[in-house]
Amino acid sequence: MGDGIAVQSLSHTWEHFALKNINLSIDEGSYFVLLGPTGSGKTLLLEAIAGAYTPNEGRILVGGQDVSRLPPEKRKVSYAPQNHLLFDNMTVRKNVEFGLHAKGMPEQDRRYRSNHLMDLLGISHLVNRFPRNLSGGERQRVSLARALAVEPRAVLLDEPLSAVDAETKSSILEYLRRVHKETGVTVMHVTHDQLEAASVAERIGVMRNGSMLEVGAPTEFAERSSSETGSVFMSDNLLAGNIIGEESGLALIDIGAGKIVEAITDRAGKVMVHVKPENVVVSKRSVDTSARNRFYGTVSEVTDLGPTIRLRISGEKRITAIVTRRSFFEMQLNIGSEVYAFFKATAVDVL
Amino acid sequence: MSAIALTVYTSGLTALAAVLLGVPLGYLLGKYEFPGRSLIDSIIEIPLMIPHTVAGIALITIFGSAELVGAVFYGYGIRLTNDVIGIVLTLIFVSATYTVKQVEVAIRSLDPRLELVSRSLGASSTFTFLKVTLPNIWRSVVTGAILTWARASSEVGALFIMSYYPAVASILIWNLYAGYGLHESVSNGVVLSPGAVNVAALMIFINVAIFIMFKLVQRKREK
Repeated sequence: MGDGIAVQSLSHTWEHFALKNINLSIDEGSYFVLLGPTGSGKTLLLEAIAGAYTPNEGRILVGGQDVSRLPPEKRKVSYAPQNHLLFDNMTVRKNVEFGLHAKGMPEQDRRYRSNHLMDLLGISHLVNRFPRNLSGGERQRVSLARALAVEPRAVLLDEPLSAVDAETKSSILEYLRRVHKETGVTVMHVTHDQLEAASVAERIGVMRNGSMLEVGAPTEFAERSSSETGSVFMSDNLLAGNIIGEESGLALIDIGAGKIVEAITDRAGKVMVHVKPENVVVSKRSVDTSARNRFYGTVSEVTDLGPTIRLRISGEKRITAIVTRRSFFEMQLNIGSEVYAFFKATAVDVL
Repeated sequence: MSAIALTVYTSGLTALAAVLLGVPLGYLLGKYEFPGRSLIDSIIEIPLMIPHTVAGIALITIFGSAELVGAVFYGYGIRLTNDVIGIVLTLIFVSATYTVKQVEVAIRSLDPRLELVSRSLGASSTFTFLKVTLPNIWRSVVTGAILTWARASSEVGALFIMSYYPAVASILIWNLYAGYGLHESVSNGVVLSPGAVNVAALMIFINVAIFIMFKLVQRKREK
């Protein structure tokens, strides 16, 4: 598979920040997520690819073509910025058809293509509305349709799930998966949210302080998250798994090391699962509870968080739990304590 | 009456010229950082800082018929002083600043990512300017043009030096006041002066109308 986007030795210096020797290769048609905290340089890298500025050093290739010195309109890379920035003076249809109009496509052809995309993204009923009358989720879908309408070589999405509520977030994630599957376009998606990254990415690049620290598949990051070495970049209790069956309405997810996690989901195949550390119950004995998931291990790390204490429990998989200070002392827990960690099937997020 | 018509005409031409020059210049100053930007910005603001008779002197040392630029035009039979051209040149110098500044501020407050989105979708910079940028800044352009128009119609100091003739309304009012006093002057049934106060009242009416237009545009902009 060829390169969708390749960044080679890219460096650029501003007065107070620098992108340092970035190297990156994104397969054509793949879904890549650039992950990092605020101020790590993700958006600046995205803007370099979009053509907002010419980097001091290095090259950017799109579909094998060096676009480093080309103006944005010649790169065939659609940019969808943060906060789903739409053209407020145009209706939804005009927004979606903007790029096609700029290229001089006849109206009938524009209509055909925009109608298909608006159907795909569930915004057909909004065609005559103006952006000011749209919700955050609707704006995001319009922004996505507009980016895809010109059939670009790649789409650059900057924090596409910012400024939308949790419910809308999961629906947009589903749209992103569907659109990517249907169009096969190369996607570069920027986020600071590790779970968001894990839920859509085929590969993840982690940035910090203007440097690309690591690139890998979400499962690789999850493996590191659940191993003893750990990864500071990924969430606690993020596990890669494979749905192998269903029992009494519960999905059975094989997470390796002979462990099965039970969860509620309608997803199939490879998934990522996540459990919030505060939803993990710790006990020194194996007790009968309604929780469907049970892990055994020893406490390998204790971190004082003030009123609560974070425990790393190492065993078949590494599990993180957060307990109150009072429970910690009453249970006389310490490094080396043998414990059971429980969590309910309903507490498992399947990404 | 012809002086008032001349005022409206030359102020209108000035406003038009201010838009044609001020939009690209304001765009450049608002969007880009480049060496000499602050210097250009300061030069544009100078007319707001200096007495306008001084501005008139500065202009006539360049555009006077025997001076650097004026002499060249005079060689082709074009007078840059004491003519409509001279009036418009003077008014552009003293009032186009308002349009440039309005556009500059509007461009600065416009999210630069809007243009990047447009161009990433394949739109040229011209198409982007016409379809994305201009619809977002047009109210500032109109406001700047109205301010320029209003300022130009009230100019007197620089015109005294650069283009005393043909007299625009502000100069006519001064002449009537200095020659005949405040009120209408009639001698043997012949009107010597329509009265400085009457012409001034008409100018007040026109300028108030412009001010109301400005307020209406401003209100729409705030909505």
